[in-house]
Amino acid sequence: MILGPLAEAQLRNAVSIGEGSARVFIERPMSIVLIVIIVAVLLLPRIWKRLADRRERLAAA
Amino acid sequence: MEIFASLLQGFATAVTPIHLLWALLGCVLGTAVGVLPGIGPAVAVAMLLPITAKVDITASMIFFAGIYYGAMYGGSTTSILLNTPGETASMVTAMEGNKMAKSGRAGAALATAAIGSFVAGTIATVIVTLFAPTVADFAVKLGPPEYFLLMVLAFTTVSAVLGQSTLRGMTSLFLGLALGLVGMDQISGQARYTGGIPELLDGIEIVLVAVGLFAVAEVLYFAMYEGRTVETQNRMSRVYMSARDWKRSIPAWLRATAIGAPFGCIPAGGTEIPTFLSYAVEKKLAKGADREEFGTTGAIEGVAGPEAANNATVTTALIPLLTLGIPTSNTTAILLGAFQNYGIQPGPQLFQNSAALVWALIASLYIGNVMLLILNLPMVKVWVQLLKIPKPQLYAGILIFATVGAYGMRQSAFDLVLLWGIGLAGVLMRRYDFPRRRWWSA
Repeated sequence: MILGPLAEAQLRNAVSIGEGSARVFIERPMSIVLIVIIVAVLLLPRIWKRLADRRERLAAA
Repeated sequence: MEIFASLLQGFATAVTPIHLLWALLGCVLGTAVGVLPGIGPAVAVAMLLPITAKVDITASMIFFAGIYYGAMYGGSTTSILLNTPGETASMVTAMEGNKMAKSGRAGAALATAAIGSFVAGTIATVIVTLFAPTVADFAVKLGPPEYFLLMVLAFTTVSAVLGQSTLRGMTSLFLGLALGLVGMDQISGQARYTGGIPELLDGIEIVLVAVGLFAVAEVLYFAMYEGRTVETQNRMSRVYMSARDWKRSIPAWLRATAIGAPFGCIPAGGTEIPTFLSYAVEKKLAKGADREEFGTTGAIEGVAGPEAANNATVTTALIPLLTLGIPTSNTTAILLGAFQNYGIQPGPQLFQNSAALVWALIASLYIGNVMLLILNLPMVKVWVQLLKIPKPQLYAGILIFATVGAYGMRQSAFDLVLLWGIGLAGVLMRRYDFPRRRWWSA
């Protein structure tokens, strides 16, 4: 409700800066770093959990 | 030195009688909602959002900030004296604090909580003073692509890392994003998702969502599912700390401030983690007889640490709010809504365009911390009386107040339907563990 409309405005600005291409997001160093962090935040907990599960199963076997 | 001059100007604004009065009112109200179990600062600020239509922005921001950290002071009182925490942030305080109170040391626990809150709050305010302008300078350089990704990051963190269920977190996130789309498109003026209802053309009023989601839903939920718990009140003792208490508290406060302060700055879900972390650290570091007290008669470090961590986090949460416009807790999310209601967008430009407001707000933090220390230490017995208010009347009163406030904004019956619809949705979300904050801040 609060950030949504803002995020939309920023996204539209960003895309118009990139003249309609989403490449702006990967061409700027700061934004690449941010993308990496976002992906890490989404994936790392799952990877850790899977590793922990596997170790447990190995320990049980 | 530039910072110092700006801060002095902020003080000049903040110490005018009218602003001092608002700060005091905020601190008193904040302590009250902190003490009352079930209603926290988010409820109080949400309930009072409609006043933004009538009060000038500096005054109302000082007022809301007072409520915000006042509740942190008040919450500890309830956690120590009752077996229920006054608000979620003092859950950890309740563990040791309640044990200390049971073994007749309620006074020492209350003192270390209040003084610790003061110490941590003040140190954190210094951190805000020193770092916020720097972060703002940096943030000005961020372009729209970075900004958009920063928001995506804020969206992902809480739901992915901390929520019990990523699916639920994402569901409320997208629900919020969808609701935010209702109304006229900002750029082309196209009406979106209004279903032909003219009232929806301006979008859904954010104040309505805040009041519905946090005030109405919270109170309804408590009335429906909680409040049946039998509360036992611990006996008060004199508010006093011995030399040994001081010696054990001071390092705990400082360590906790160091733990709590960074957590305010990252969108990682409020005060639960730093308070737990500080508790764990204190428990680990305690030696000998002090160690024995943990979980048995109650260790003073276990109260001093989490309380200080809590206040440090709450205060530094203002850094991302003021400089990036990104809220890291429920209450800062609602504060963000309050800013927007005045047509001000917190973010990098805030320090340039509304410098007077920002510095007055920061100056009021220093003043408010002193006020709260005075309000809380000698007057703790007065606050405890608040716990005697019968719950049914209290909850009914809040609901009436919230409804009247929402109606008063533009005298529209449609708003009331929306308010209660959102309120009921909020109850369902809370019942089934959907994080309401995702919905709101999306």
